[in-house]
Amino acid sequence: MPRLVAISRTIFSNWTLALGVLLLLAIILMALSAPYVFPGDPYDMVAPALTWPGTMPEVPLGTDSLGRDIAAGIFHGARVSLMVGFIAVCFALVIGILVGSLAGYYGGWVDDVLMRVTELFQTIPQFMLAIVIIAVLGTSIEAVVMSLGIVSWPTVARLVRSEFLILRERAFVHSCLVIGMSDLRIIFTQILPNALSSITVMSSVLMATAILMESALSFLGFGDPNVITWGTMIGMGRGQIRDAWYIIAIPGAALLITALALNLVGEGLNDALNPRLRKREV
Amino acid sequence: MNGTNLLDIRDLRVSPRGMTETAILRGVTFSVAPGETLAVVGESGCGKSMASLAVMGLLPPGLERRSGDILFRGEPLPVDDNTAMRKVRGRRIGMVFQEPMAALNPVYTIGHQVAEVILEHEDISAAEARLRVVELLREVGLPSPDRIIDEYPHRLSGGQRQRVVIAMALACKPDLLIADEPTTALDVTVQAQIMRLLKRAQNELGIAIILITHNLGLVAQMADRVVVMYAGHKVEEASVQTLFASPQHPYTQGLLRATPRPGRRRAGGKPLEEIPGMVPAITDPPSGCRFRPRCPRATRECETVHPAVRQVGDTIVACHHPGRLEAVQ
Amino acid sequence: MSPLLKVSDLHCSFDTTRGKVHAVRGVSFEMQRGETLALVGESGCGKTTLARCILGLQKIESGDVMLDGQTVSGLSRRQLRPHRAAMQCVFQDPFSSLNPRKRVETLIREPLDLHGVGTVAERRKTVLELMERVGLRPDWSRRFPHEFSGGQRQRIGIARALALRPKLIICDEPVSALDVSVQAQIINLLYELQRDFEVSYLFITHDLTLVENFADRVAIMYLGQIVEVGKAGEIWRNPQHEFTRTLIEAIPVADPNVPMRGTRTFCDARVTVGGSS
Repeated sequence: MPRLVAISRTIFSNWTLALGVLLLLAIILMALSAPYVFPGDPYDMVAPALTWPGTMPEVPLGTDSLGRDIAAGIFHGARVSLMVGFIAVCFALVIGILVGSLAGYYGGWVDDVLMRVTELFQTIPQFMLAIVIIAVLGTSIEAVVMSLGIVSWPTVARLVRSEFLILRERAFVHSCLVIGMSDLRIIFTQILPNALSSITVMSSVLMATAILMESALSFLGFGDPNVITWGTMIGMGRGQIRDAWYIIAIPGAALLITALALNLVGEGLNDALNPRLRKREV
Repeated sequence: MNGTNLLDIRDLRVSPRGMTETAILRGVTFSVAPGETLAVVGESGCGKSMASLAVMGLLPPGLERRSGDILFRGEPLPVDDNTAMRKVRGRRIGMVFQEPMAALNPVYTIGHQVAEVILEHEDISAAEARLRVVELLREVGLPSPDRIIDEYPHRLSGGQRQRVVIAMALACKPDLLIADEPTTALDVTVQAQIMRLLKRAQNELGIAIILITHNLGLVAQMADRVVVMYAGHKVEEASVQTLFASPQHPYTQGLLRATPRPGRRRAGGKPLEEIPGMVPAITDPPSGCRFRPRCPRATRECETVHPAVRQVGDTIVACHHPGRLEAVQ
Repeated sequence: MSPLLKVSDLHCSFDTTRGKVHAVRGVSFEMQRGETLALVGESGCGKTTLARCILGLQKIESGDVMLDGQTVSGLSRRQLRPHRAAMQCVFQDPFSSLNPRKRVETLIREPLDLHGVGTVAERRKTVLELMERVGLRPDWSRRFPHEFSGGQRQRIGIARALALRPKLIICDEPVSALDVSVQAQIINLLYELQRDFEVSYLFITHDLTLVENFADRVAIMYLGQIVEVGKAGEIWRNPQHEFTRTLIEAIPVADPNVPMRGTRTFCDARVTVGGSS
């Protein structure tokens, strides 16, 4: 319990982090409560088409051109966005940490080979690569997650590598070599924990990017047609942009807030975890 | 304090911003006469560097001067006025830091950086300035100054860089040079050369030097007078002869005994005399005398009353129980 | 009986951005059991590289390192592991030599865990005993390194090095980052531990005065070579090599009645502008 108190104190002594965490918690709550608040299929027609927000109490955020409840779409879309973002980032972290830590720790030819591969992925525009991967794998939610993970890992790898390049020269690593610790153990139990703060900071920003890219893919019709996402909603509303702009604006705002929340968390964590800024207890 | 002093620091108090109770410096008073070398000695965190930064108006952000006067030639220094201080820094007071690389900009040549100091304060042409720079570099003992003038800092050794920094500090013939651990990052053979250079500059230009150091060997070789600091206080001040011959404060005595003496091997026992314990944190100082927890002479009085600075013989000391040490060895 | 450590004709060089540096050029020396040998030299003389070679952290070009009669140079990491327990190291910088994310208890226990010494409960007990022995309060065992002062961190480093009961500890400038009064504490602690643990020290330093009272023998290193070895007091009184004389003259004596010396300029020849010749 005291640990929890300490964590919450860190969070709330830093307003960027506090605001980000609150927004993110609200979105997560939306996602979790979606099946209870809106038990039906969000693709069902529930009210007259093109009902403006605030005109019918049953559909507070209005309906789209097919009479589907926008509020239900937002809630269910939150599930997809968060899940896709989270899994894609996890995927990217696993590959990125593995590649980056090996390259940074061993250096030499290992570094050369792994970094050339990483650069190969980075030279292809991310979005194009994602589309190509989905085109190969087919438009399913798994394919979207996979493609986002594949385009995101090089960023992680580069960051982890640069952290390792610095940390492996620190005397505590030599100290572990002297007591006879194996390389893998040094990499994962000694160096990686010291790199975690910057990895965490980057993950939140990476997740925001992944969520935005997922929306863009859905908007272009590369998303899974069976699940509703904010991108799909924007894509379907683009025909009515002149007379019913709210159809696009509401999911757009949801996206904006999610991306903002994650960026705020990232920035806040950066301040909170950065040991140079943290007051040292003497 | 009389009017002949070059620099007077009176009752200087420096605290972290917004923390009135804690203080990095607590009522520090000392003065420097023209042409003399004053050594300020102490361990890390004793505040010895802060005093000089306060004089230059260069206290790090988050620290502020809460009280105390700083007089230069009897006039208050405008330490809070950055524009006014720029005329003082470099021109009247030069400064040399521990890490010469930090004082030099890696993207400009040596000549450019030394000339910059001169052009900032004097109205001369660039060509004249260049001649002055060559002359300066020669004076600080750099080989082939006409070549070094066009070199970049990273091409020089640590000792050569420190010579360049000293050249910059001496460029406008200041009245006072503050040298903050100028040789701590250098080899001992290079240190000897730098110290000789400072001595020579002092003799030729008649400048006063404040030498901030933890090295008692350098103090003995360089200083005329010594101020010993501990945990933000001045604990002892005396001429160098008096201080080494009969230190009054138990901390000074401890420091002298803890300093390894070459060529005097102790027979048996521990290799070195030690001062037990460690320097207190400024946020949590002990009551009464700051040195009390480590002091062999501490009494009830030391626990409650902070010792005032007073004169004992030729020494100014802040201790309830000052006294000669039986034998340093 | 063979010497504890025998280094013969060790050469080591490595590539830097400025070209190949021949850091250690044919160093040979021996150390006896329980002896303290001080290796004194200025920055860049190769003393730290030599230590890294002996510890197997740096690849050597030629030459042999024998520990307790067994060759340890040229071994792979895995082959070297059984020898690790006999040879430990205390590092210079007490701020970077301890993993900031590990508790003191873990830091001192890690070597025991790795080499599977005793049961878990025994290791715990050993950690607390070691902490007490090096002057740390055992109830601080759950703290992190940043909660300690420089001197205390160095004590943690010493406890970690002692955990495996090594025969040799290489001390790489262990007190140069510390204040004078704390320096004396650490030197005295090492001195006391030497008797209790029957350990030898290879004490690497730039400060000749420091080891004068502490070491049995002193080796002076200059430009990758040992130029002079002798008994500690002997070197000071009667230096043989020109560099040793320069070094001794340059050391400021803490006595205002001794005039400033150091008029020699032996080292000026070594560094010229550009330095990349």
